This record gives sequence, C-alpha cells and structure tokens, in this order.
Amino acid sequence: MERARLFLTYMTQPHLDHPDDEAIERFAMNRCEHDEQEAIDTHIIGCPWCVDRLEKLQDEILDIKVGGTLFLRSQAARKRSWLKRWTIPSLSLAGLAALAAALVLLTSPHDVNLSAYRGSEVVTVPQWRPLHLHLNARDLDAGPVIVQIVDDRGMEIWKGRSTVAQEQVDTRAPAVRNPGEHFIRLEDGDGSVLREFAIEVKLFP
Amino acid sequence: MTGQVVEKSASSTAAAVEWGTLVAQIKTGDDAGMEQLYKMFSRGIRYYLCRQLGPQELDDKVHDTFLIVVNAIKRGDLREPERLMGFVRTVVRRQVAAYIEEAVHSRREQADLETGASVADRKQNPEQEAMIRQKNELMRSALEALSQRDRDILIRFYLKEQPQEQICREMSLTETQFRLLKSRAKAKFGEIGRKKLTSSGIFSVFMRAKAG
Ligand SMILES: [Zn+2]
Repeated sequence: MERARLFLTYMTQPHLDHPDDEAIERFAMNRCEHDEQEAIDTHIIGCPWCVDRLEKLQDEILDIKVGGTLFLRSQAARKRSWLKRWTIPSLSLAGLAALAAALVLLTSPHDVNLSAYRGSEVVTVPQWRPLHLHLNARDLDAGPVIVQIVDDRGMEIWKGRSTVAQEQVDTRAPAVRNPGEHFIRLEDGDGSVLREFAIEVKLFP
Repeated sequence: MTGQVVEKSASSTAAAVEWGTLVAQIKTGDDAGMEQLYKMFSRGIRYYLCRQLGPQELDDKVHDTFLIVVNAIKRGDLREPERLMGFVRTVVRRQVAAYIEEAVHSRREQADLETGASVADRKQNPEQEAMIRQKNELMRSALEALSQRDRDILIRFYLKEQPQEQICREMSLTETQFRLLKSRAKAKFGEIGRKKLTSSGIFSVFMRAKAG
C-alpha cells in the first residue's frame, strides 16, 4: 500500500485537501489502511463534493458487480448446456469425481468477507457450507469478542468466541441450514452489540 | 484518474470556513451559522449514515444527528473549533452504534411477539423490480461488449475484489499498465452502459427516481 502512505503525506489537512480518485476508490471498496480511512472519513463528513464523487463511483462499481455476476452466470450456464450435449451420461469415473468434488466443496469452509455494516451491503453466502468469517472490526478495541449468528427474527443460530486483532475478527462458524436473511453480530462480554453484518443465505449463491 | 494530485477545485467545502466564527455563531443560535453548518455537513452525515445503516428513515436520522451536533456545540463540548470535522464524525459514529443497537432490540422484541416480518418492508414493487432487472441485464450486455481483457480486469478487481498484485501477476501486467487499463475499461463500460440505458428509455426513469 505504498500509494496509501503517499496519499497521507500530501493530505496534510483533511478538511482542505480532497482525496484523489484512487484514494476515493480505495475508500469506496474498503481497501484503505487505517490512517487513510480516518483521513477520508473525516474529510467526507464535511465535503459534499467528495460525497458526490463517492456516490457516483459506488453506482459504477455496483453496475460492474451486477453486470459481472450476470455475465459469469450466463457463461456458466452456456458451459453447462454444452457439457450436457456432449458428455456421455454413463461416465461413472467422471460422475464419481464430480461427486467427490461436491463433497469437498460442501465440507470445505466458505470464506466470507464482511466489511459494510447492516443495510449498506448484503453478502450472499452458501447454505450448508461451513463458514470462515473475516469481519471488519475497525474502531473496535483489540481483545475477546463474541460472534453470534441470528436469523431474520433475531433468533440465535450459533454463538462462538473470537478476538479482535488488527481491526479484524477471523473465526470459523458452522454451516447455516436455512435460506434467507441472517445477521452476524459482534458483542462484548456484557452482550452489548458492537457491530452487525447482514448476509443472505442461498442454496446456490 | 488524477494520479497523485490532490483535487483542490470544490468550492462549497471547508476551505473557506472560519471555524471559530462558525462555532461561535452556533453557540449563540445564529441562523446563518446553523445554515452553514447544515450546508457543510448534511450531505456527509447522510452519506455516512446511509453507508452504515441503509436508506431506511434516513431523513429523520440525519435531522436527529444534526441536532445532536448543534446541541453538543452549544453545550461547549467542542473545545477547539478547528476540530469541528472530526467532532462531527465522532458524533455520527456514536449515532451509528446507537441505531444498530436500537435496531437489534426492536428486532428482538418483534421476534418475541412472533410477528417477524422485518424483511417485507424492504421489497420493491413489481414495476421497480422489473426495471431493476432490465437495468441489470443491460449492465451484463455492456460488460459483454468489452474486450475480454478489459472485462477480466473489471470483474477481477471490482467483483472478485482480487488484490492488484494478484491481477498484475496473473495477467502479466505492470502496475502502471493495470491502472491505465482499469481506468479505461471502467470508462468504456460506463459509456456503453449509459448508451444502452438511454436507448432503452430507463435512464430517464432512474434519474427521476434519484432526483426524487
Ligand atoms: Zn472533498
């Protein structure tokens, strides 16, 4: 992150200097390092012009994400129909290999990176797969924390212990069995919610 | 891309603000001071709250947060006027935490009552849904219209969120080439997307919806 440091050296007065396009993009994509995040955070609170830039950029990124997801899906569908046409159904070895691959997939943890808070971004997560959660814990004190998964009615599904380290919480959680909206919470020892992330559980995300 | 140049062109920002005067005006309840404070911070507060909490009841939340800032300044909680921006950010962060906690509690109560229909109010109406689907499809075709390399860069960086170093390594690009190609690909995608939206007629609908 050489450029991030560079940016900070010239953004000496967060209330006067507007971050450049690349810094704004890092901010929009939650790729800033802590100091840069702080500087831009403070700047945008008081700069309507940069809020405009950010909103425009986030719209563009969302369009790329949506277009890209649909594009990849259509590519996969094309590949599937091609395979259907050309593969011999009784290829037992290939069948077994596919089954083994599916089993490996189902038992291997799925990485979930959550950086936004409730409402602004919902990450889709596969049903029936153990999860490896990477939760953004910026501004939280380092130390032990409780991680909880609840369904959309607030009913607890799983609870575990982890720690905040380097502004992140990394923990493994069991598979979520039911589809639909769920929330992942970070709580302190007294049960106060420190942060909440939304996920959408789907059979085929 | 502006590279390493810090933009200095915006006019209505903090550059011209005399912090001490502004804070003094707010302390005395002066309308001009309040107006300037609102002009400066309402967009930023709105953006911040929306990013963290989503668009629900945003106007009320912005208004409440603004009042908290004003009252805190009147109480003398801000000792150094030049730290106003950081002060506002701290207030907004506290508000975000409070709203999250409030939302969690209300959902717990809802669960106790077994009403549990919290997701329903986020749904769009059928016309909006159809339009969003149409727009999404146009974005897909805009991406398909790009060269494979341009598309690959955009999908890897923005969708798969791969680190720049990985993309450069796997696509045999230097850092400079990557930056240039990414910026051009994004511009091309935007241009094609806009054309497709305009010719489909839904561009104007989206702009109206945004303005409203
Ligand atoms: Zn700015």
